[in-house]
Amino acid sequence: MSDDRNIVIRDVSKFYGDVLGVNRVDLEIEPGITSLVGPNGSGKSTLMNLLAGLLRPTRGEISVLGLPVTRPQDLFRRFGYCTQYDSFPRGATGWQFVFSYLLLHGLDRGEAERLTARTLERVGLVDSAHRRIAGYSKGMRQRIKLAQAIAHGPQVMVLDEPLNGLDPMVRAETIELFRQLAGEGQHVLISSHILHEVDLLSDRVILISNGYIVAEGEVPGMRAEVEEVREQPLQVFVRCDRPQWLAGRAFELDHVTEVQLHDDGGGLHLRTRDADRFLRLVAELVAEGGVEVEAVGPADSDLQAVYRYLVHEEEEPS
Amino acid sequence: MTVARDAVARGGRDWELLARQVGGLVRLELRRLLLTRRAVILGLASAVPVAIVLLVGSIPIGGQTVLERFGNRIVYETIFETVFLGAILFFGCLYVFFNLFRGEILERSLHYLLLTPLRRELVVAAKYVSAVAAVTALFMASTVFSYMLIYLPVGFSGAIEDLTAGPGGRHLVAYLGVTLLACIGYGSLFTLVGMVFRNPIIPAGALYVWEMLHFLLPPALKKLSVIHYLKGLLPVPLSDGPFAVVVEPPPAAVSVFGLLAFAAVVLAVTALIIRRMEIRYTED
Repeated sequence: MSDDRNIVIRDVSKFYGDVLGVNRVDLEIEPGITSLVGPNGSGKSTLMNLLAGLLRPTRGEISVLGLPVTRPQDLFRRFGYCTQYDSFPRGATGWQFVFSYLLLHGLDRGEAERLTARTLERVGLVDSAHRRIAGYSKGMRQRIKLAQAIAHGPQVMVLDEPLNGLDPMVRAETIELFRQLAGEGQHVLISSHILHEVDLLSDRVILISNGYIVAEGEVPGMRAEVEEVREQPLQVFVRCDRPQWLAGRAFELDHVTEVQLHDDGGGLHLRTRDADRFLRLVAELVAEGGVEVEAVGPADSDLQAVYRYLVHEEEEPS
Repeated sequence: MTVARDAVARGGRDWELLARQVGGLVRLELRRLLLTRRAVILGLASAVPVAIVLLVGSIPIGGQTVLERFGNRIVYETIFETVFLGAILFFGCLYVFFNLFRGEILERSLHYLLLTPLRRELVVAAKYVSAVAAVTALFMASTVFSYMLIYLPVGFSGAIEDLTAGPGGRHLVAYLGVTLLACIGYGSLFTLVGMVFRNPIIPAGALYVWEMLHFLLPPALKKLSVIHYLKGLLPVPLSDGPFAVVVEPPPAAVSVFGLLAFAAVVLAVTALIIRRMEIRYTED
């Protein structure tokens, strides 16, 4: 796919003096929903600020849809950014906030009013539009920032922790909005540390830790792509009629590192470095009639597991 | 299609789009400057010269008001030079222009402007022009009102005669011009100071001392002060006292174009700084 359609980050590093922000980041992000996941201080916001040109890379180059991020007059016609900063121009109402910045895009008042109304409706803030933002709840402030980022119809939306502070209902609506935007062929880059949400809504995930990209790819395939993860034992569960016997057979395999019987005696969890070989064994045993299996599957193939392996467990925020 | 490209597609040329963008920013800034507490403080400050002239023109001391005793032109020139130019214009501009960018950095709202499709240099220019317009409007109103009050002893007909047939009109224009140029000169300087310094006290204090003591400076250094050029444009020459290093005031054209050129250079430096600026509020 051409660079003109993607977000391209080439060998980008950012240092704050001696402190590392991000290091040697090389990414090419295609349209769709991409999530940037990492613990606090891992470099998510730094990377997003670099994309928006609010920070300058110490080295490397960034382009968005083929545009250099150093040219705001071109970039921000196609780029919307919802920052982490929970601050607003003093005294502004939600309406004024969105409307004013649409005027700065060069729209006439009528068009700006129409788009402001449409965007506030999209983020569910019509009733509060003429209240001062200072009196908004955390969730409402998140939504008004989101409105400001998407109001001008950008092709690339970079949203720093946009789901923070949203109640479950609004969160679900916001996720649906992201899906709509991505469905229209737009880039939606979201940072988050709420893994189960990212898992569900993303087309692909980028994991970042201590300023380094530790993994990237589509969620289901990510484990296979990362060599370090391959070396980590995978947890598999089996619900069956003879768990103790199965545990004994499993221990004969050199790649099985741990077996734990379920308290109810109806199954087991085990850790293996080669899940495929173990699952083949289970299939053979079932075929031989040695065991009746009710259910079998990976116990930790979700993103949380990948994340836990790649990022230190003690840093895990959720 | 993005809305901006829509706007162009509907027939808007690039420069029209740009004009709408800059116009939008100017309106936003004017609202921020004129409809907030800042405007109230500036309004009160600009009322001070009016109050002083009213005081010296209406309260008799020993049977005569100060205006009548010393002559209205001399008294007004003294008030304008010492109170208005020497304090209110300087600190009024400091208050507004220092906060033009620093205020937004402290409020953590500057990034919203930098996330719009406007060159950062234009953001500087538009904010600066808005602030000059707002401050000049208030201070010029103050100049006009206070100047009109010097005609209290001669009444309405005397005022009209002096303004139309006498030197009054020319003097008023000169005071208005100095007010405008002071806003332009000090405004550019304090915009830059606000970009560079987090706290205005030390740089503003140093600048104030430099400006107020300019009459003691050797001729070459006088040329590095804004007030030297402004005073050269004042209609009634006053003595700077026995310790002053007296030099010929620069020609009016040199003062006007020199101050405009100075403001342009300072703004260019400000634009260069903002062009390279990173948003890292935690450092501020």
